[in-house]
Amino acid sequence: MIFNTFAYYLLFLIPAALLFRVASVKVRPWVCATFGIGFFIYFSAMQFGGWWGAVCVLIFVWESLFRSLYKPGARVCLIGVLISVLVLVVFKYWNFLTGLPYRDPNDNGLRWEEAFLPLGVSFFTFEFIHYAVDRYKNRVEQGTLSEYLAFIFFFPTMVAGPIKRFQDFVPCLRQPMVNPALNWNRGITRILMGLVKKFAIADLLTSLTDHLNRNDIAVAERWVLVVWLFAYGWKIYFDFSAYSDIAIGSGRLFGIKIPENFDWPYVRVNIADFWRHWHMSLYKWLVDYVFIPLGGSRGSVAFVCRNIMIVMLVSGIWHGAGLNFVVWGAWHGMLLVIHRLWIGWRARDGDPPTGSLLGRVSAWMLTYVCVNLGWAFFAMDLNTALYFFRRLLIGQ
Amino acid sequence: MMNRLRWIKHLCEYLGGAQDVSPNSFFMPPGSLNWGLWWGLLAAVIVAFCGQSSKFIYIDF
Amino acid sequence: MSLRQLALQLLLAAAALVAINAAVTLMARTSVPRQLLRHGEQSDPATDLFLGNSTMAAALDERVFAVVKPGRPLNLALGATGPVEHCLIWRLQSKHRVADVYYGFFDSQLTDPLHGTWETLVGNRAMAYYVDPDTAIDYYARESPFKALGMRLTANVPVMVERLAIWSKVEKLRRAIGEIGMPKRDVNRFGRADDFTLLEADSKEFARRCERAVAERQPLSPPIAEIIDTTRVNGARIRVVEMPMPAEHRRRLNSSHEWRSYRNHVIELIHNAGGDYVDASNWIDDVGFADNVHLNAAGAAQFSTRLGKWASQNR
Repeated sequence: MIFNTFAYYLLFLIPAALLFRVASVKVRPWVCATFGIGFFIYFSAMQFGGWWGAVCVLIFVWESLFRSLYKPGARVCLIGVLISVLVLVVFKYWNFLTGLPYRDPNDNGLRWEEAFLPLGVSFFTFEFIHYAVDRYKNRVEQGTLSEYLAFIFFFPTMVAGPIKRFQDFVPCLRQPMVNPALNWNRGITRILMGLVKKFAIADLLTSLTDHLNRNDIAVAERWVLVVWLFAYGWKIYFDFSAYSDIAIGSGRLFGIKIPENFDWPYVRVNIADFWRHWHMSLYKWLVDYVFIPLGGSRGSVAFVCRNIMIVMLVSGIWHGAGLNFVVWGAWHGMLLVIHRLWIGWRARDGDPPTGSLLGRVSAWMLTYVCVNLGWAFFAMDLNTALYFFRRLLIGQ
Repeated sequence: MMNRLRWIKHLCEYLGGAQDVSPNSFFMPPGSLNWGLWWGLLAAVIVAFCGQSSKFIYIDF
Repeated sequence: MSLRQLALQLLLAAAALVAINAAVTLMARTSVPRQLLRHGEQSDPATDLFLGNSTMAAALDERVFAVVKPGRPLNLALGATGPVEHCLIWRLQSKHRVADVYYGFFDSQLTDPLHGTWETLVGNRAMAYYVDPDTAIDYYARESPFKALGMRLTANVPVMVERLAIWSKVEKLRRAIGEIGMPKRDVNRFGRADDFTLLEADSKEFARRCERAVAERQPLSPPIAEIIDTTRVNGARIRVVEMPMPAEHRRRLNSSHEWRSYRNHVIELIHNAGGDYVDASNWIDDVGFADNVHLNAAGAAQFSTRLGKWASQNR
């Protein structure tokens, strides 16, 4: 983890935020870009691929030059999208895809032995795609080179999002900071709270979730398997929302508003509402750049359900290179489809949406349980997850 | 009860830095010195819990 | 909101951190090393003093020893410590200076290089920062003024010094949570029994280390040499005890000719320094062990009896 290192705060965040505060409007983007480049190289060399990982900064250099060709309606924008997808596929999915025909990964002749993931590859490629598509559709201005570099190299969101939008980011670069003291107060509070969520809650829950492996599942008492699964749901929430808190709080120190990523997702009463409040920046990205281009909600029920399934499969695959993530995505796709059909059926019948307390509590429980059942496929590989449910349901 | 829950939600978000405006009848504006104490408390919790990636064999300290 | 208000808030937070350090200082008064040192200060002058790490802490039963060799035995061995810390404990025990000293070790600890860094001077070894920092710095940071400065600065921040003691409380909580619904694991006062297999050296690397020590004619670790010299000067006897180890450990690590050469080398060093060498490595059967390195109560009683008899016969 990067946010728990002294280097993040002492070498990057605090100097960059202070310099950003005193810099002129023209210089501010260069402050972000310079520190972001240093951040990428430093932490890549330390943790993500060594010096080869650091060399991947050239991906950003290429992107910042290539994007100058993007014009509204120009096909080169689509080439830019393809290049970003290619970068993601090669680094993240090469071994998974080439290994699919083989039972034993060692039999894969095309296996990339020293494979590594460039720092934040899943997130920066999605920001590249967003910019390319929105330029194609003339939804975003080109911006200067320094502004684009600041956008792609903004280091608080580089590691784990939230996924930003260029048209929301640039105004914060250009406008003078309003009430820096308030920004720093909120930013510091948000960062500290994120660290508390990470260390005091998420890491403590790993004492339960570390047991989600075949050996421990085999010897544990069956009732505790349920505890472990729900603990995983809470651990992943606190872990991921902590990263978002630190990123958003860090952005606040610059006076830059980063989109929220989590909004009490576990209190939502249906699966669609859950997804509107869980990893919100990813959800919005998937809606804008996958769901709507596929046709969105315009069409027959079967067509819309197909689109929903594709979006959730993409979401699953994006989260990890493994069949378990595909199953996880499919599980949520299925839940969303069922929810959509249910809403449609209730509307056809003329029934008003249920507002009774019992109804809402039941709906909440059902949503909560279904989401947590899906976490089994997120936490464990496919075979282990299936073994987990076998052990839980039938004891073997 | 829903209003109470919304108030608690707003309070949690305010104490967590996600809201700029304090909830009704909670007097701790952003300029209050109490934030310094709150930060000190959060820092204490962070220091206490941040060692969980340490490898422990011997534990009698 | 003004920048002045923000500055005051940050100042207050800094003051809160100072208060946290003060609280840690208060709580650390009952830390294990401090309890041990107080125990030493409050005890009557000892006739037999035991030093070393947790192997000696677990192995020596003072009451059993005193039955076999009448006197006032005092066990000041401390777990998760090294020769420098043993020397620091020894230096403070002025009233026990005339006692016979029994220094327990296993494997190559008598000649291993001293490692004292930010990462390793934690837990009980953090006593290097507060018991006698000048001596500790002299042993750990003699060659590096920068490192010495780092140690002096760290010594002034109780939260940094005591961090492992704080974190170990959380670790115990994690272990308690993690054990819910799982088969019980063997636990002793030092930790989980099977965790101590992680202390087992790689046998090839261990043999290489022994070979190098003999080839380079490595001397005794300086703090151990100091304990031996000072004991001799005080007119007392120093016994360096090779602690009991389970059969598997002896088979893996102590049956090679590299080990035998190494042992001969350290025996020669100890004799030249005026000490005695006691080979207790095979005194206790496996049933007397609580884990890979520590004796259980029965094993400790057996060891203490046998050591007491040996000491009585070799005055």
